[in-house]
Amino acid sequence: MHVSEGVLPLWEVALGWGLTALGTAVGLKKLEGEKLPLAALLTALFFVASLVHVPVGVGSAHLLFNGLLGLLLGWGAFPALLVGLFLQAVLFQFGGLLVLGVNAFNMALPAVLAGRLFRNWIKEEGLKFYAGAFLTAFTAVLGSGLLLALELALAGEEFLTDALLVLALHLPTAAAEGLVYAFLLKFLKKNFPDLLEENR
Amino acid sequence: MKKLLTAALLLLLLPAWAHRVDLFLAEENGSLVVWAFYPDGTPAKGAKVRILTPEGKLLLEGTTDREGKFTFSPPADAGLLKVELYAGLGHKAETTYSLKEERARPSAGVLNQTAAARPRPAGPDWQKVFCGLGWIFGLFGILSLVYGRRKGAA
Repeated sequence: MHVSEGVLPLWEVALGWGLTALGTAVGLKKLEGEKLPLAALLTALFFVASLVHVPVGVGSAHLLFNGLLGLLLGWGAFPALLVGLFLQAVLFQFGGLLVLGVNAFNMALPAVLAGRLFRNWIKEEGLKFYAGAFLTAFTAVLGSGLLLALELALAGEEFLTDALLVLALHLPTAAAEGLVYAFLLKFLKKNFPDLLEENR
Repeated sequence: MKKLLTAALLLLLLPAWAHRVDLFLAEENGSLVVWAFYPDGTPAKGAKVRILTPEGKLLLEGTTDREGKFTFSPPADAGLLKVELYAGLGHKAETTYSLKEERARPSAGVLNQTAAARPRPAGPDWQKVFCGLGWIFGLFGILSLVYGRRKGAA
């Protein structure tokens, strides 16, 4: 899910930085106040989660948890993911510093969207709650993968091949995340219900 | 419910990690072997390999086998080789290999040396993990200071 340096053309790299900068600017405004400690905690979770791999037949894919950030932080997911990805690039050579903009955008945008789409489902009970938890994970993870496939297609790769590879690698990851979200959100709803409120 | 939780935890604890691809080269019986791995030690199968001159002229290309290896005979007059590996979905690695320099080494041509250098599935480097966590909380701490100051000034 982390694009390496030197794969994407320069214009995509530049565009990625531009969009990430915008998202981060909006996000930093939204984070002001009580969301900040939560953002720190979730950034830490994201930073560590990418080190955990879900072994899949074809290769291995790691957990992302970007959907959770989108759900609980809204636009604040942009700065949070940017910090997390920066440290992953510097410390573990995941991705790279030049493509950091693209990588942050790829993971943050679908996460913000997933949060928007399914926040109200999460507030409900029963089937809708579980569907919301799983769909948040699926939208965020697969959305990131498909954005990546699209960017690689614009760089001259076959879209369908990459898109199918994304699905094969990340469907299990998304399912695993959905399961974790369901437990985590159940716990949060019970003990910290205001975390799920307002975060436009 | 408890069973589900245990399953989720087990899934979390499985020791495998990657998302970077690493590249190794060694000479063996006059052929060069390119060996590609993910950091957890899984071979990068079916990755595209391109061998170039330092000026970027394509000499030959191929794909890695099930062990993540690609073997080729380097051109006799080749000095420095540039090796590019593309493992799909944006994962790329490159390195350069100097035939002359490697041959001049006392341990030249021993692939086992590369095998020894092969990253073992040891999992993440915990020192770096903690270092990163420290940075995260530090950065957000600074941010909260900045926000607090602004509020105080307003």
